[in-house]
Amino acid sequence: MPIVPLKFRESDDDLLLFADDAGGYFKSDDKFLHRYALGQLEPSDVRFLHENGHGFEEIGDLAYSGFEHRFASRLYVPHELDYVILVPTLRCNLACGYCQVSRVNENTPGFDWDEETIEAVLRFLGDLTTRKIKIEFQGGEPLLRLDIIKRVRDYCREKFEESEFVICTNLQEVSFEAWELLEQPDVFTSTSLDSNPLTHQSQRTITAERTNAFFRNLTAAVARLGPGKVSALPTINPQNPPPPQSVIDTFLNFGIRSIYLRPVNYQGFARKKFDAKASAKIWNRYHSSFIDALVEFNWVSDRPLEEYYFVHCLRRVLRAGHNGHVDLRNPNVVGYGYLVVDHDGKIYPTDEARMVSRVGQFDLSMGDVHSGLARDTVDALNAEALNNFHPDCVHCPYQAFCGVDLIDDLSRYGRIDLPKHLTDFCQRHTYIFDKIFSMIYSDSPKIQKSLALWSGTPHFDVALAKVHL
Amino acid sequence: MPPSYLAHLMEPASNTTRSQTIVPDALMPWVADASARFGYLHPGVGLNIEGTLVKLAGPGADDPALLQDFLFCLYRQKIYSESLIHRRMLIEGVTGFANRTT
Repeated sequence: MPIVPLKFRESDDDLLLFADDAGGYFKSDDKFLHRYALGQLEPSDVRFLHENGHGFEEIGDLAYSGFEHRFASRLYVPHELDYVILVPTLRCNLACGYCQVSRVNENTPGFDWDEETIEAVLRFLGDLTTRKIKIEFQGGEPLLRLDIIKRVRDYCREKFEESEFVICTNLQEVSFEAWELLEQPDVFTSTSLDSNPLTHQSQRTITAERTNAFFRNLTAAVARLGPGKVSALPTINPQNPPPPQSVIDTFLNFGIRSIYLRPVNYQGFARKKFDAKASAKIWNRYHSSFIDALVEFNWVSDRPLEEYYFVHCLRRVLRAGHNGHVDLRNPNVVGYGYLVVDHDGKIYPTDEARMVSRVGQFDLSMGDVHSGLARDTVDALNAEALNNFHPDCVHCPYQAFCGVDLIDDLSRYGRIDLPKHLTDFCQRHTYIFDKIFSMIYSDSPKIQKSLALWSGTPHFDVALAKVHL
Repeated sequence: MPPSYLAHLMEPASNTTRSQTIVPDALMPWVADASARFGYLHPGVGLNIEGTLVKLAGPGADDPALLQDFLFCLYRQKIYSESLIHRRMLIEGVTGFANRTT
């Protein structure tokens, strides 16, 4: 019986984790590896592999077609353009030390859309064929141009059958008119909450007065809009991270139960101030301790907490089709399903590409709203967006769950052909999947409870932890 | 620890340590590919091949995990090369990239 290609990796229990290209996995030992690699499988091996979807009799039979379907389901297929990030201004009323988006001071002229650009953006949106649209306003601080947000919102409500708007704001100064906007049912608020007031002040607001203003506004936002309409993301300095419990306590205070931990991003102006280029190791250690803290919390709480990205990766392991995060897809084709319109009308495939371009590393722009899309550069990048044939990933059991982030590689190393295991992307995701599999194969009731909660099942199913010995 | 079917010899640790292993005959066709990959993953470790004998030398070369990793490189290269045709057919079948196997 032919066996589909199996990739393997050592795990922390002296067994090997095996996985195929469709994401089917199990654990076994080095004796099985030897039999498999040398074509000396025993009948019990063949039976196990066949029953678990790793073998077939001939191309096109039911077992093969099933595997082919599962393999295809793991691939990301870009859909029509229905998600646009708009940057109506680069001006901001804060000057965070690690600003990820290359801001300018609030009073600096020349960094807002002019009337011609506004009209071009509306024409660009008007040419989209989608019936549903999601618009995310970023900056700078987008609430500084409430007038533009309202014009775009009104236009989209008229043009599309369904519209959703996300305002990424620092919640530093929220006018009466801004609250009115945020309270609209199709408007969602996203902000930054750097773990606790002390850290937030040292990293963002600097003065006690500004810190108090932010926390007053966040309290008001949760009360007026409801926690379901407010998301808050902490940016963590891996060199000096806050204790996990203080992050948990802060988010609980605001009723926010999904926490998306992000390390300082090595892009934009952040690179000037933080040693974020080679911090994967310390970040992974911190992140692991945070997950452990969540497991402890969930064990005694009837209202669970999650770390958003970890849960996203867990779900990518357990089933296909979780392609909702733009940084973790395979192939990670950019510039089609969503794009970014910058303050000057230039179009970028991702927000990170905008930063890479702004700091002068590479010009990853793909046209502008005046003259239209030009995808030549981005399509050259997209030719490398598949991990299935990458000389490193082709040996990695996490390949089907993982993805590619070429723009992150470009940003950090100025190239996309570095050995994968030397990249931040690979180091962080190898750690995450190691952690996930150590938890899947754990017999701790505490861990199993959190895994069930995070995967959306009533109980942890031990069948998820197959072992063949 | 390396699997029991690996014969390996260790020398006392010093600045440059050494170890060696016998490659099973069935894996010999992949020694060249595995050596290239091993060298890429462990650029500080010297690799010398004499028939079926593979010798490692350099700082930390007496770490049993290194011998295991070399063996894993052999397995991986064999699995990769022998399953490449299946993998190509698979990607062709679901994406229509017709030129991958030609």
